[in-house]
Amino acid sequence: MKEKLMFQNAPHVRQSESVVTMMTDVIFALLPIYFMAFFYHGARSLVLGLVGIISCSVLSLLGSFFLREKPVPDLTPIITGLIIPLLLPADIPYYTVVSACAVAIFVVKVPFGGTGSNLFNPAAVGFASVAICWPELVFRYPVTMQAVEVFGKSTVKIAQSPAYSLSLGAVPDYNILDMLLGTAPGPMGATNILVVVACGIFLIVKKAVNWITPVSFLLPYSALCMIFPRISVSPLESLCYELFSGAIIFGAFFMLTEPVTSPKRDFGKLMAGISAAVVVFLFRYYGGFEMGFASALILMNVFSPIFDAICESVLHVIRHKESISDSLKAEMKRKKEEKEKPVVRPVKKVEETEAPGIPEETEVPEEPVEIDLSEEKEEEKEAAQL
Amino acid sequence: MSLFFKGIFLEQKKEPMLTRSTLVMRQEFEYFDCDFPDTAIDELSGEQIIELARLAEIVDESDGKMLWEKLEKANLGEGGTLIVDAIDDEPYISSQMSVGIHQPEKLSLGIELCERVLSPEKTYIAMYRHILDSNFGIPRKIGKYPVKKIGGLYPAESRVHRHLPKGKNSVIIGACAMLHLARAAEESRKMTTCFVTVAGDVVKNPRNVEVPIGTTAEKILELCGLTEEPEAIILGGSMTGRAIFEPENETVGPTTRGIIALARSYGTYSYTCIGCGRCDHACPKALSVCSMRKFAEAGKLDLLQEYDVSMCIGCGACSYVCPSRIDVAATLIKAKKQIELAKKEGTL
Amino acid sequence: MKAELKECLGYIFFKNPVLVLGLVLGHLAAGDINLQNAAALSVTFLFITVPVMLFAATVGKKIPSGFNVVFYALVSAAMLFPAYYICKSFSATIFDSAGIYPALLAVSTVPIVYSSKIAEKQGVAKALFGGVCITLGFALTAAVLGAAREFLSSGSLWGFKITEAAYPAANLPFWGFILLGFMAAILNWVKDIIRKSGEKSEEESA
Repeated sequence: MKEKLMFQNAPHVRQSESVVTMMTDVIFALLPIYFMAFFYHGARSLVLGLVGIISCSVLSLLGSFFLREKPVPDLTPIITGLIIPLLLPADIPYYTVVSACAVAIFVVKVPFGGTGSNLFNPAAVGFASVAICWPELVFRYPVTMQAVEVFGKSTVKIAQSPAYSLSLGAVPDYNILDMLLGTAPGPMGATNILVVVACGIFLIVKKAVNWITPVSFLLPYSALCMIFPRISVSPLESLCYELFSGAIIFGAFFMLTEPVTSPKRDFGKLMAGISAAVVVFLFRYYGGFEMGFASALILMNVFSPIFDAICESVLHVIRHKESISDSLKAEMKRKKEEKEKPVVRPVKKVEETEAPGIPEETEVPEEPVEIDLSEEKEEEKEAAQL
Repeated sequence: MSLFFKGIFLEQKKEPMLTRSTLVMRQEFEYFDCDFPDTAIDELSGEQIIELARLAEIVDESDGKMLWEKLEKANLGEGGTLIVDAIDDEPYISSQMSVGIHQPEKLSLGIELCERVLSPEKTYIAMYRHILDSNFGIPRKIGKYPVKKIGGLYPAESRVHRHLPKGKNSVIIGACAMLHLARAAEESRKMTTCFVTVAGDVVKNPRNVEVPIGTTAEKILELCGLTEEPEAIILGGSMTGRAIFEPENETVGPTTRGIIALARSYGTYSYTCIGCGRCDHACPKALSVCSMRKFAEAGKLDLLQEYDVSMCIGCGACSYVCPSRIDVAATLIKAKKQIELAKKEGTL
Repeated sequence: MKAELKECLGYIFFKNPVLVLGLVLGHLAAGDINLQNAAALSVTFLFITVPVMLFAATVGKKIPSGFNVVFYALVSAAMLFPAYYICKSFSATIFDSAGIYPALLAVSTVPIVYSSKIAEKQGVAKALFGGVCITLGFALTAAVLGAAREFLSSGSLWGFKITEAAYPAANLPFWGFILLGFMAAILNWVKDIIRKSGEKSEEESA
């Protein structure tokens, strides 16, 4: 009986979900977006994705060689390699994608200690680096429904994206249905809003992504876009144009939710989402840059440890609520007694020689013994949700 | 408040152990002599019941204390509550629940005896409600005592403790101890047995068994049969028990609630932490588990203390949810012990 | 002689003003985009550091602390003129093409740190020696960084074309910081190897 026994720490049952299943879910969610890119731009989009995957995987293997670690079957480089081409136009040269992947892996990930230790979102930094280096290649997009040549120079007509028109303060040439379906020019994977939203909902349902982050980002951002429109149209139209351009929705579902660089608790995620919305809005409203999302995301990554620390300090107070309230009550009682103390005659004071100001031991009124039914109901709801 | 104090949802896997009757291992019982053998059970006084519990050497299985000491010390004043612990919120384990379900007369007799000692205003039996993978319905009443269904996520036991008001106004006593008390009153029988759930995916005939204290794990597993060589044998609950290597030398004690044999251990292979924060959300004590694990690995004991590692109850919820299969709970418990040691030595 | 060589190497590598102490990171990351700029920056650094350290070793001790910082800054700013003319003597444009950064060096933390931390506590000869060694360390860092960025961005070295341009973004400050970070990491790695070999040889001798 005992030959096969192995050591393991408690608990002895574990969730079936693991890092691998989470990452596979994300990869599966990215595949339909690639299919749409293939539909709009031809086979070159798939080759771009392949180049991204291969370069990221090879580079992270090299990185683990440099770190002298045993290479782990880790799917995060594949996700990074899949996300980067989706933010770029379909006719981008291949070396651009490779360079973005190299920055993502060799500047953001490996020097800080590999998967799980990166300070910034690798895909966002990779994209930002190529956007800074080759803006003339990144910020012009081929029109849709025309296949881009897989090799050689692209001959497809070039157009400006709606995000560019918005940054100039002009109403985009495309109607909202175009933008919803993705026929307007733009980044390869971020234009077909319907598919992106469906994939994002898939991720939320599979629990690979916490719903709080995208919701807490998109709702305040939409509100801001409606209140302060950049173009002179009705608030609803402004909202649609702002939301459907510039990879906002793609970023909200696939980049903002990256677990390593986002805060840990729901409350922290909420704060981070709202502040990211404000920062992204400011970047797009005042910045001349067309893709403000990536830069704003990199900026917000810096603050996520701070949000964690805020959560921890709040929780510290809640955990020590009883002892803190006890000491506060004692203090208040002492002060009250000092105030209400009757004016005693000096003769009596000598007799009693009572030392004033020493707090008496306070007794907390005991609550009746009952299990809180309201909380039980809440938990029931939670369980039902699960 | 449940925004922060969460828990985890567990598949309870209590079937078929819960609905099957308890198997009693063949054994010889021990009996004791008392000074009042002729007194009818209905006429036993409080002191006599405490004396019975002392003579029968009954141990409360929920916390490992002697029952007579507990009964003597407990001083329920006005509005006192007696809670019978049959919660069993860990997967597989159902030893306390099965006592209530299959031997209700004995249990209610035991509760009645305890009531006579403590004279509480209210008495109820606590059972865990969320057994979703079973059609079994928890009874509303056992004897004349109401069953309070404890809902919510694992760990429910700690939550019951949290809702209790501070002070001596309530007492929690395990269901098995009540049963043994009833036996002591009826038959003058000593507590020589304990209730153990034998379960797991390689056990041929999983059920609750009543075995003598000191039986080896190997014998108990032989009693229920194995279909396959297990990779892990666990003594205790599936969430808090420990893996054993020598089943022929490991014996069950009065507080052992289960023996679980699993075909596959989840192994020692683990990924790096990806910082998803699920452990923070699972923690029923609302600790910042994710950061604490990093501190523990870096050996920063002062920071750990600042983050209230001493509040950790070792429920294992963080390890359960970790998608990277990291032994978070084990790391934290080790760090907690280190801090206690350092405090004793005065180095912290 | 051997001890002095060791001290010199210590100033260059283990107390490198940029990579270890992190003193003028911003100036290098923004201004050091080719070898010419590196030369201009290094010459300016020499003309700022050595006279200020000499000044601190001789006069600076007598000025009450707190006021002497002002004098150091004044001296270093005054030394910009000879630096400018020296640079002009071997190439007409390099000081101007380096932009504001050589001038910014004069009011950076470098003269203050070295004069108050090192020179005030040492004699004149030691201060002179230290100043030269520190400048060597700075010049080495600036040269490596400038050469790497010039080669990456325009494929040339000191203005002579070698290959086609490959990565124009290397001129951006963002890449300057990243390359400096990598250089610091490599230096740390080398230091680690040296320390380990030293421990080994000690063990063997013991």
